[in-house]
Amino acid sequence: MQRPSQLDKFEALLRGHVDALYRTALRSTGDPGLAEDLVQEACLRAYRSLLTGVEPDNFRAWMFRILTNLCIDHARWQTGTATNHTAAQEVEDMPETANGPAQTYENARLGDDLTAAVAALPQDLQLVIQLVLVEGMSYREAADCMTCPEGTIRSRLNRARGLLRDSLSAHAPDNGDRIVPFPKRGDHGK
Amino acid sequence: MSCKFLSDDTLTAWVDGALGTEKARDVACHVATCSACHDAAEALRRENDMLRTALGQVRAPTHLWAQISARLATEPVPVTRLASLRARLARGPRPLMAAALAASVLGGVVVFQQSSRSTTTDTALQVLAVETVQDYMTFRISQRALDVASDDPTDTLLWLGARVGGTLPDMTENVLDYRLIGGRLCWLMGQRLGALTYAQGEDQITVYVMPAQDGDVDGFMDKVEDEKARHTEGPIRSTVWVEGGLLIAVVSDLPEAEKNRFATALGESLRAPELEI
Repeated sequence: MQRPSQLDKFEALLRGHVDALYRTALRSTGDPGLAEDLVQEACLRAYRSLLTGVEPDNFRAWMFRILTNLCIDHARWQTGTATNHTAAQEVEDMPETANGPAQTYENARLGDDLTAAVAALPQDLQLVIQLVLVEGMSYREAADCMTCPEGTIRSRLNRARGLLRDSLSAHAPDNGDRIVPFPKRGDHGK
Repeated sequence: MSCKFLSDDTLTAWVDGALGTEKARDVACHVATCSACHDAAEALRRENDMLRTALGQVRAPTHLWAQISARLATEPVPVTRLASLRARLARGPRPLMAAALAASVLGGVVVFQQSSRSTTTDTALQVLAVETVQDYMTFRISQRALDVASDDPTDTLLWLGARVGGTLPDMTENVLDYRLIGGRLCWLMGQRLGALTYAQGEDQITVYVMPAQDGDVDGFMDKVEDEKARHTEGPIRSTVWVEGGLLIAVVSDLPEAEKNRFATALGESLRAPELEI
Protein backbone atom coordinates (compact mmCIF):
# COMPACT_ATOMS: atom_id res chain seq x y z
CA MET A 1 0.00 0.00 0.00
CA GLN A 2 1.27 3.38 -0.91
CA ARG A 3 2.10 5.58 2.03
CA PRO A 4 -0.15 8.55 2.48
CA SER A 5 1.48 11.59 1.01
CA GLN A 6 0.42 13.53 4.08
CA LEU A 7 2.91 11.49 6.08
CA ASP A 8 5.66 12.03 3.55
CA LYS A 9 5.12 15.76 3.65
CA PHE A 10 5.02 15.80 7.42
CA GLU A 11 8.26 13.88 7.61
CA ALA A 12 9.88 16.21 5.12
CA LEU A 13 8.89 19.20 7.24
CA LEU A 14 9.88 17.53 10.47
CA ARG A 15 13.21 16.02 9.63
CA GLY A 16 15.18 19.25 9.65
CA HIS A 17 14.00 20.06 13.17
CA VAL A 18 14.68 16.79 14.95
CA ASP A 19 18.14 17.76 16.22
CA ALA A 20 16.82 21.04 17.59
CA LEU A 21 13.82 19.34 19.14
CA TYR A 22 16.03 16.77 20.79
CA ARG A 23 18.43 19.45 22.06
CA THR A 24 15.54 21.35 23.54
CA ALA A 25 14.07 18.29 25.22
CA LEU A 26 17.47 17.32 26.53
CA ARG A 27 18.04 20.85 27.80
CA SER A 28 14.72 20.71 29.58
CA THR A 29 14.99 17.24 31.07
CA GLY A 30 18.70 16.49 31.30
CA ASP A 31 17.85 12.88 30.47
CA PRO A 32 18.70 11.61 26.96
CA GLY A 33 16.23 8.72 27.07
CA LEU A 34 13.43 10.89 28.31
CA ALA A 35 14.28 13.52 25.73
CA GLU A 36 13.90 10.92 22.97
CA ASP A 37 10.54 9.85 24.33
CA LEU A 38 9.27 13.41 24.52
CA VAL A 39 10.38 14.20 20.98
CA GLN A 40 8.68 11.07 19.68
CA GLU A 41 5.50 11.92 21.53
CA ALA A 42 5.58 15.50 20.24
CA CYS A 43 5.96 14.25 16.68
CA LEU A 44 3.04 11.86 17.05
CA ARG A 45 0.82 14.54 18.53
CA ALA A 46 1.70 16.95 15.76
CA TYR A 47 0.97 14.38 13.07
CA ARG A 48 -2.37 13.48 14.62
CA SER A 49 -3.29 17.14 14.70
CA LEU A 50 -2.38 17.57 11.06
CA LEU A 51 -4.56 14.62 10.15
CA THR A 52 -7.51 16.29 11.80
CA GLY A 53 -7.02 19.38 9.70
CA VAL A 54 -4.86 21.57 11.92
CA GLU A 55 -2.65 23.75 9.78
CA PRO A 56 0.02 25.64 11.67
CA ASP A 57 1.16 28.95 10.28
CA ASN A 58 4.66 28.38 11.57
CA PHE A 59 5.52 24.71 11.58
CA ARG A 60 8.71 25.07 13.59
CA ALA A 61 7.15 27.18 16.33
CA TRP A 62 4.18 24.84 16.43
CA MET A 63 6.39 21.76 16.83
CA PHE A 64 8.39 23.42 19.55
CA ARG A 65 5.24 24.51 21.35
CA ILE A 66 4.00 20.95 21.46
CA LEU A 67 7.37 19.79 22.71
CA THR A 68 7.85 22.49 25.32
CA ASN A 69 4.37 21.87 26.66
CA LEU A 70 5.25 18.21 27.03
CA CYS A 71 8.52 19.10 28.74
CA ILE A 72 6.82 21.49 31.12
CA ASP A 73 4.05 19.02 31.85
CA HIS A 74 6.60 16.35 32.56
CA ALA A 75 8.53 18.65 34.86
CA ARG A 76 5.35 19.44 36.75
CA TRP A 77 4.60 15.76 37.02
CA GLN A 78 8.03 15.27 38.45
CA THR A 79 7.65 18.05 40.98
CA GLY A 80 9.62 17.19 44.03
CA THR A 81 12.22 15.23 42.16
CA ALA A 82 13.53 17.90 39.84
CA THR A 83 16.49 19.71 41.28
CA ASN A 84 16.66 22.68 39.01
CA HIS A 85 13.09 23.77 38.59
CA THR A 86 12.10 27.14 39.95
CA ALA A 87 8.72 28.67 39.40
CA ALA A 88 8.83 31.36 36.79
CA GLN A 89 7.57 33.99 39.18
CA GLU A 90 10.36 33.26 41.62
CA VAL A 91 12.81 33.95 38.87
CA GLU A 92 11.02 37.11 37.86
CA ASP A 93 11.36 38.34 41.41
CA MET A 94 15.07 37.73 41.68
CA PRO A 95 17.22 40.85 41.95
CA GLU A 96 19.08 42.08 38.93
CA THR A 97 22.65 40.95 38.71
CA ALA A 98 25.35 43.53 38.98
CA ASN A 99 27.65 41.83 36.56
CA GLY A 100 27.74 42.39 32.84
CA PRO A 101 29.44 40.47 30.09
CA ALA A 102 32.74 42.19 30.78
CA GLN A 103 33.05 40.65 34.20
CA THR A 104 31.89 37.15 33.56
CA TYR A 105 31.84 35.33 30.27
CA GLU A 106 35.46 35.94 29.61
CA ASN A 107 36.13 33.89 32.69
CA ALA A 108 34.20 30.92 31.49
CA ARG A 109 35.81 28.00 29.82
CA LEU A 110 33.82 27.31 26.74
CA GLY A 111 31.91 24.12 27.04
CA ASP A 112 31.62 22.48 30.40
CA ASP A 113 31.47 25.56 32.62
CA LEU A 114 28.89 27.27 30.50
CA THR A 115 26.87 24.13 29.97
CA ALA A 116 26.87 23.43 33.69
CA ALA A 117 25.86 26.98 34.47
CA VAL A 118 22.94 26.80 32.05
CA ALA A 119 21.92 23.41 33.42
CA ALA A 120 21.67 24.94 36.87
CA LEU A 121 19.13 27.50 35.71
CA PRO A 122 15.42 27.00 36.22
CA GLN A 123 13.72 25.11 33.41
CA ASP A 124 11.88 28.16 32.07
CA LEU A 125 15.10 30.08 31.69
CA GLN A 126 16.90 27.17 30.09
CA LEU A 127 14.13 26.84 27.56
CA VAL A 128 14.27 30.53 26.68
CA ILE A 129 18.03 30.38 26.17
CA GLN A 130 17.69 27.24 24.09
CA LEU A 131 14.90 28.54 21.89
CA VAL A 132 16.18 32.08 21.30
CA LEU A 133 19.95 31.95 21.56
CA VAL A 134 20.66 28.41 20.42
CA GLU A 135 17.86 27.60 18.01
CA GLY A 136 17.61 31.15 16.72
CA MET A 137 13.95 31.81 17.33
CA SER A 138 12.59 35.31 17.48
CA TYR A 139 11.11 36.52 20.75
CA ARG A 140 7.71 36.20 19.15
CA GLU A 141 8.26 32.59 18.11
CA ALA A 142 9.58 31.71 21.54
CA ALA A 143 6.61 33.40 23.16
CA ASP A 144 4.34 31.37 20.94
CA CYS A 145 6.14 28.18 21.95
CA MET A 146 6.03 28.92 25.64
CA THR A 147 2.55 30.42 25.56
CA CYS A 148 3.54 33.68 27.19
CA PRO A 149 3.90 37.33 26.13
CA GLU A 150 6.95 38.51 24.24
CA GLY A 151 7.82 40.74 27.16
CA THR A 152 8.10 37.69 29.37
CA ILE A 153 10.55 36.11 26.97
CA ARG A 154 12.62 39.27 27.03
CA SER A 155 12.63 39.51 30.82
CA ARG A 156 13.42 35.82 31.25
CA LEU A 157 16.24 36.11 28.79
CA ASN A 158 17.69 39.07 30.63
CA ARG A 159 17.31 37.20 33.89
CA ALA A 160 18.96 34.12 32.49
CA ARG A 161 21.88 36.12 31.21
CA GLY A 162 22.26 37.84 34.53
CA LEU A 163 22.20 34.60 36.47
CA LEU A 164 24.71 33.04 34.11
CA ARG A 165 27.09 35.96 34.52
CA ASP A 166 26.77 35.74 38.26
CA SER A 167 27.28 32.02 38.25
CA LEU A 168 30.28 32.09 35.97
CA SER A 169 31.95 34.98 37.73
CA ALA A 170 31.47 33.29 41.10
CA HIS A 171 33.12 30.08 39.98
CA ALA A 172 35.60 31.26 37.41
CA PRO A 173 39.25 30.61 38.24
CA ASP A 174 41.35 33.71 38.10
CA ASN A 175 44.26 31.87 36.59
CA GLY A 176 44.91 33.53 33.32
CA ASP A 177 42.59 31.30 31.29
CA ARG A 178 40.36 34.20 30.53
CA ILE A 179 39.10 34.79 27.10
CA VAL A 180 39.90 38.28 25.89
CA PRO A 181 38.02 40.56 28.28
CA PHE A 182 35.07 42.49 26.97
CA PRO A 183 35.53 46.23 27.10
CA LYS A 184 33.34 47.92 29.62
CA ARG A 185 30.68 49.96 28.02
CA GLY A 186 31.34 52.97 30.19
CA ASP A 187 34.94 53.33 29.17
CA HIS A 188 34.18 54.63 25.72
CA GLY A 189 32.02 56.99 23.87
CA LYS A 190 31.97 59.80 26.36
CA MET B 1 24.75 51.40 31.67
CA SER B 2 26.70 54.44 30.75
CA CYS B 3 25.10 55.50 27.50
CA LYS B 4 22.21 57.83 28.13
CA PHE B 5 20.83 57.33 24.65
CA LEU B 6 20.26 53.61 24.66
CA SER B 7 19.09 51.25 27.38
CA ASP B 8 20.63 47.85 27.96
CA ASP B 9 17.30 46.23 27.23
CA THR B 10 17.00 47.91 23.87
CA LEU B 11 20.57 47.12 22.94
CA THR B 12 20.09 43.49 23.94
CA ALA B 13 16.87 43.24 21.95
CA TRP B 14 18.67 44.73 18.96
CA VAL B 15 21.47 42.20 19.19
CA ASP B 16 18.88 39.44 19.46
CA GLY B 17 17.12 40.75 16.38
CA ALA B 18 13.96 41.42 18.32
CA LEU B 19 13.36 45.03 17.33
CA GLY B 20 11.13 46.21 14.54
CA THR B 21 12.71 47.40 11.33
CA GLU B 22 12.48 51.10 12.07
CA LYS B 23 13.68 50.84 15.66
CA ALA B 24 16.47 48.50 14.64
CA ARG B 25 17.62 51.03 12.06
CA ASP B 26 17.73 53.77 14.69
CA VAL B 27 19.73 51.60 17.07
CA ALA B 28 22.13 50.58 14.31
CA CYS B 29 22.77 54.24 13.51
CA HIS B 30 23.48 54.97 17.15
CA VAL B 31 25.72 51.95 17.67
CA ALA B 32 27.72 52.92 14.62
CA THR B 33 28.67 56.19 16.27
CA CYS B 34 28.85 55.21 19.97
CA SER B 35 31.86 53.13 20.88
CA ALA B 36 30.43 52.17 24.28
CA CYS B 37 27.29 50.74 22.73
CA HIS B 38 29.29 49.22 19.91
CA ASP B 39 31.55 47.40 22.33
CA ALA B 40 28.65 46.34 24.50
CA ALA B 41 26.86 44.98 21.47
CA GLU B 42 29.95 43.07 20.42
CA ALA B 43 30.21 41.64 23.93
CA LEU B 44 26.61 40.50 23.79
CA ARG B 45 27.16 38.92 20.42
CA ARG B 46 30.16 37.01 21.74
CA GLU B 47 28.11 35.95 24.70
CA ASN B 48 25.41 34.64 22.38
CA ASP B 49 28.01 32.90 20.22
CA MET B 50 29.49 31.18 23.25
CA LEU B 51 26.12 29.90 24.34
CA ARG B 52 25.25 28.77 20.83
CA THR B 53 28.55 26.98 20.52
CA ALA B 54 28.37 25.36 23.93
CA LEU B 55 24.72 24.30 23.73
CA GLY B 56 24.17 23.81 20.04
CA GLN B 57 26.51 20.93 19.41
CA VAL B 58 24.22 18.17 20.53
CA ARG B 59 22.70 16.07 17.79
CA ALA B 60 19.83 13.66 18.07
CA PRO B 61 20.89 10.01 18.24
CA THR B 62 20.85 8.42 14.81
CA HIS B 63 18.23 5.89 15.82
CA LEU B 64 15.75 8.57 16.89
CA TRP B 65 14.60 9.45 13.42
CA ALA B 66 14.05 5.80 12.55
CA GLN B 67 11.95 5.38 15.68
CA ILE B 68 9.90 8.48 14.92
CA SER B 69 9.35 7.43 11.34
CA ALA B 70 8.30 3.93 12.38
CA ARG B 71 5.78 5.26 14.88
CA LEU B 72 4.33 7.73 12.39
CA ALA B 73 3.94 5.00 9.79
CA THR B 74 1.77 2.96 12.12
CA GLU B 75 -0.47 5.87 12.98
CA PRO B 76 -3.90 5.20 11.48
CA VAL B 77 -5.19 7.75 9.01
CA PRO B 78 -8.66 8.89 10.04
CA VAL B 79 -11.37 7.73 7.70
CA THR B 80 -14.12 10.05 6.61
CA ARG B 81 -17.69 8.97 6.10
CA LEU B 82 -16.88 8.02 2.54
CA ALA B 83 -16.94 4.32 3.22
CA SER B 84 -20.52 4.43 4.44
CA LEU B 85 -21.55 6.54 1.49
CA ARG B 86 -19.96 4.06 -0.86
CA ALA B 87 -21.77 1.24 0.85
CA ARG B 88 -25.06 3.01 0.40
CA LEU B 89 -24.39 3.64 -3.24
CA ALA B 90 -23.40 0.02 -3.74
CA ARG B 91 -26.80 -1.14 -2.51
CA GLY B 92 -28.29 0.01 -5.76
CA PRO B 93 -30.96 2.45 -6.91
CA ARG B 94 -33.23 4.00 -4.37
CA PRO B 95 -36.65 5.55 -4.74
CA LEU B 96 -36.64 8.85 -6.47
CA MET B 97 -37.83 11.87 -4.67
CA ALA B 98 -38.13 15.51 -5.19
CA ALA B 99 -34.59 16.64 -4.79
CA ALA B 100 -33.17 19.89 -3.77
CA LEU B 101 -31.78 21.60 -6.75
CA ALA B 102 -29.39 24.42 -6.90
CA ALA B 103 -28.26 26.93 -9.36
CA SER B 104 -25.52 29.42 -9.13
CA VAL B 105 -25.34 33.10 -9.77
CA LEU B 106 -22.40 35.38 -9.65
CA GLY B 107 -21.37 35.68 -6.05
CA GLY B 108 -24.02 33.42 -4.71
CA VAL B 109 -25.75 30.09 -4.92
CA VAL B 110 -29.51 29.79 -5.18
CA VAL B 111 -31.01 26.56 -3.99
CA PHE B 112 -34.23 25.52 -5.66
CA GLN B 113 -36.60 22.69 -5.11
CA GLN B 114 -37.92 20.66 -7.97
CA SER B 115 -41.70 20.85 -8.09
CA SER B 116 -42.11 17.64 -10.03
CA ARG B 117 -40.04 14.82 -11.40
CA SER B 118 -39.93 16.47 -14.74
CA THR B 119 -36.54 16.31 -16.34
CA THR B 120 -37.07 19.74 -17.78
CA THR B 121 -36.19 21.30 -14.51
CA ASP B 122 -35.25 24.73 -15.73
CA THR B 123 -38.84 25.89 -15.69
CA ALA B 124 -40.01 23.96 -12.64
CA LEU B 125 -37.92 25.34 -9.86
CA GLN B 126 -39.13 26.58 -6.54
CA VAL B 127 -36.69 28.74 -4.69
CA LEU B 128 -35.77 27.40 -1.28
CA ALA B 129 -33.10 29.80 -0.33
CA VAL B 130 -30.76 32.35 -1.71
CA GLU B 131 -27.54 32.83 0.12
CA THR B 132 -24.33 34.43 -0.81
CA VAL B 133 -21.21 32.38 -0.79
CA GLN B 134 -17.83 33.93 -0.68
CA ASP B 135 -16.93 32.98 -4.18
CA TYR B 136 -17.15 30.14 -6.59
CA MET B 137 -14.90 30.47 -9.56
CA THR B 138 -12.17 31.20 -7.15
CA PHE B 139 -9.43 32.24 -9.48
CA ARG B 140 -11.54 33.77 -12.18
CA ILE B 141 -13.97 35.77 -10.15
CA SER B 142 -12.36 36.59 -6.85
CA GLN B 143 -8.75 36.34 -7.93
CA ARG B 144 -8.03 34.88 -4.56
CA ALA B 145 -5.91 31.88 -3.85
CA LEU B 146 -7.54 28.60 -3.05
CA ASP B 147 -7.88 27.72 0.58
CA VAL B 148 -6.01 24.57 -0.22
CA ALA B 149 -4.03 23.99 -3.38
CA SER B 150 -2.66 20.56 -4.00
CA ASP B 151 -2.27 18.14 -6.85
CA ASP B 152 -2.98 15.34 -4.46
CA PRO B 153 -6.73 14.81 -4.04
CA THR B 154 -6.19 13.05 -0.73
CA ASP B 155 -4.66 16.19 0.73
CA THR B 156 -7.46 18.37 -0.55
CA LEU B 157 -10.18 16.03 0.62
CA LEU B 158 -8.62 15.54 4.03
CA TRP B 159 -8.31 19.27 4.43
CA LEU B 160 -11.85 20.02 3.35
CA GLY B 161 -13.28 16.93 4.99
CA ALA B 162 -11.99 18.02 8.36
CA ARG B 163 -13.91 21.27 7.96
CA VAL B 164 -17.21 20.13 6.51
CA GLY B 165 -17.72 17.15 8.76
CA GLY B 166 -16.21 14.44 6.64
CA THR B 167 -19.09 14.50 4.20
CA LEU B 168 -17.11 14.84 1.02
CA PRO B 169 -17.22 11.99 -1.44
CA ASP B 170 -14.08 10.47 -2.81
CA MET B 171 -13.56 12.89 -5.64
CA THR B 172 -11.19 11.61 -8.23
CA GLU B 173 -8.01 13.38 -9.13
CA ASN B 174 -9.13 13.71 -12.72
CA VAL B 175 -12.53 14.09 -14.31
CA LEU B 176 -12.15 13.75 -18.05
CA ASP B 177 -9.15 15.95 -18.77
CA TYR B 178 -9.79 18.22 -15.83
CA ARG B 179 -7.47 17.92 -12.87
CA LEU B 180 -8.31 18.72 -9.28
CA ILE B 181 -6.16 21.69 -8.32
CA GLY B 182 -7.51 22.49 -4.87
CA GLY B 183 -10.46 23.48 -2.81
CA ARG B 184 -12.10 26.23 -0.92
CA LEU B 185 -14.50 26.60 1.97
CA CYS B 186 -17.75 28.50 1.72
CA TRP B 187 -20.92 28.82 3.71
CA LEU B 188 -24.34 28.12 2.33
CA MET B 189 -27.63 27.63 4.17
CA GLY B 190 -25.81 27.58 7.45
CA GLN B 191 -23.58 24.75 6.41
CA ARG B 192 -19.98 24.47 5.54
CA LEU B 193 -19.61 24.02 1.85
CA GLY B 194 -16.60 22.44 0.27
CA ALA B 195 -15.79 23.72 -3.19
CA LEU B 196 -13.46 21.69 -5.36
CA THR B 197 -11.87 23.30 -8.36
CA TYR B 198 -10.85 21.34 -11.42
CA ALA B 199 -8.84 22.91 -14.20
CA GLN B 200 -7.85 22.10 -17.74
CA GLY B 201 -5.56 24.80 -18.96
CA GLU B 202 -7.41 28.07 -18.48
CA ASP B 203 -10.77 26.36 -18.16
CA GLN B 204 -12.01 25.84 -14.65
CA ILE B 205 -14.99 24.08 -13.20
CA THR B 206 -15.95 24.37 -9.57
CA VAL B 207 -17.82 21.62 -7.81
CA TYR B 208 -19.69 22.49 -4.65
CA VAL B 209 -20.42 19.65 -2.31
CA MET B 210 -22.56 19.89 0.77
CA PRO B 211 -24.79 17.60 2.80
CA ALA B 212 -28.28 17.52 1.35
CA GLN B 213 -31.17 18.63 3.50
CA ASP B 214 -32.54 16.02 5.87
CA GLY B 215 -35.56 15.28 3.75
CA ASP B 216 -33.40 14.56 0.78
CA VAL B 217 -30.91 12.22 2.32
CA ASP B 218 -33.04 9.10 2.37
CA GLY B 219 -33.79 9.23 -1.28
CA PHE B 220 -31.48 10.20 -4.05
CA MET B 221 -31.43 9.95 -7.75
CA ASP B 222 -30.49 6.68 -9.31
CA LYS B 223 -30.01 8.23 -12.68
CA VAL B 224 -27.97 11.33 -12.35
CA GLU B 225 -28.57 12.53 -15.83
CA ASP B 226 -32.34 12.39 -15.55
CA GLU B 227 -32.52 14.30 -12.34
CA LYS B 228 -30.00 17.03 -12.82
CA ALA B 229 -31.23 20.55 -12.54
CA ARG B 230 -29.70 23.07 -14.86
CA HIS B 231 -29.67 26.75 -14.47
CA THR B 232 -28.09 29.62 -16.30
CA GLU B 233 -27.42 33.01 -14.87
CA GLY B 234 -25.52 35.29 -17.18
CA PRO B 235 -22.40 33.47 -18.30
CA ILE B 236 -22.52 31.07 -15.37
CA ARG B 237 -24.10 27.67 -15.80
CA SER B 238 -24.91 25.28 -13.05
CA THR B 239 -25.88 21.66 -12.93
CA VAL B 240 -27.10 20.38 -9.62
CA TRP B 241 -28.14 17.02 -8.27
CA VAL B 242 -28.32 15.03 -5.07
CA GLU B 243 -26.32 11.89 -4.69
CA GLY B 244 -25.33 9.83 -1.73
CA GLY B 245 -26.80 12.30 0.69
CA LEU B 246 -24.82 15.08 -0.87
CA LEU B 247 -25.99 18.01 -2.87
CA ILE B 248 -23.53 18.52 -5.68
CA ALA B 249 -23.39 21.59 -7.87
CA VAL B 250 -21.17 21.89 -10.91
CA VAL B 251 -20.61 25.52 -11.77
CA SER B 252 -18.73 26.99 -14.68
CA ASP B 253 -18.82 29.59 -17.40
CA LEU B 254 -17.82 26.95 -19.92
CA PRO B 255 -20.29 26.01 -22.65
CA GLU B 256 -23.30 24.04 -21.47
CA ALA B 257 -22.33 20.91 -23.35
CA GLU B 258 -18.86 20.88 -21.84
CA LYS B 259 -20.14 21.49 -18.34
CA ASN B 260 -22.70 18.72 -18.69
CA ARG B 261 -20.07 16.36 -20.04
CA PHE B 262 -18.04 17.09 -16.92
CA ALA B 263 -21.05 16.63 -14.62
CA THR B 264 -21.90 13.30 -16.18
CA ALA B 265 -18.35 12.06 -15.85
CA LEU B 266 -18.23 13.29 -12.29
CA GLY B 267 -21.41 11.42 -11.47
CA GLU B 268 -19.96 8.25 -12.91
CA SER B 269 -16.73 8.69 -11.00
CA LEU B 270 -18.66 8.99 -7.76
CA ARG B 271 -19.99 5.49 -8.34
CA ALA B 272 -16.54 4.08 -9.00
CA PRO B 273 -14.88 1.87 -6.39
CA GLU B 274 -13.54 3.80 -3.45
CA LEU B 275 -10.06 5.10 -3.81
CA GLU B 276 -7.51 3.74 -1.45
CA ILE B 277 -6.18 6.55 0.66
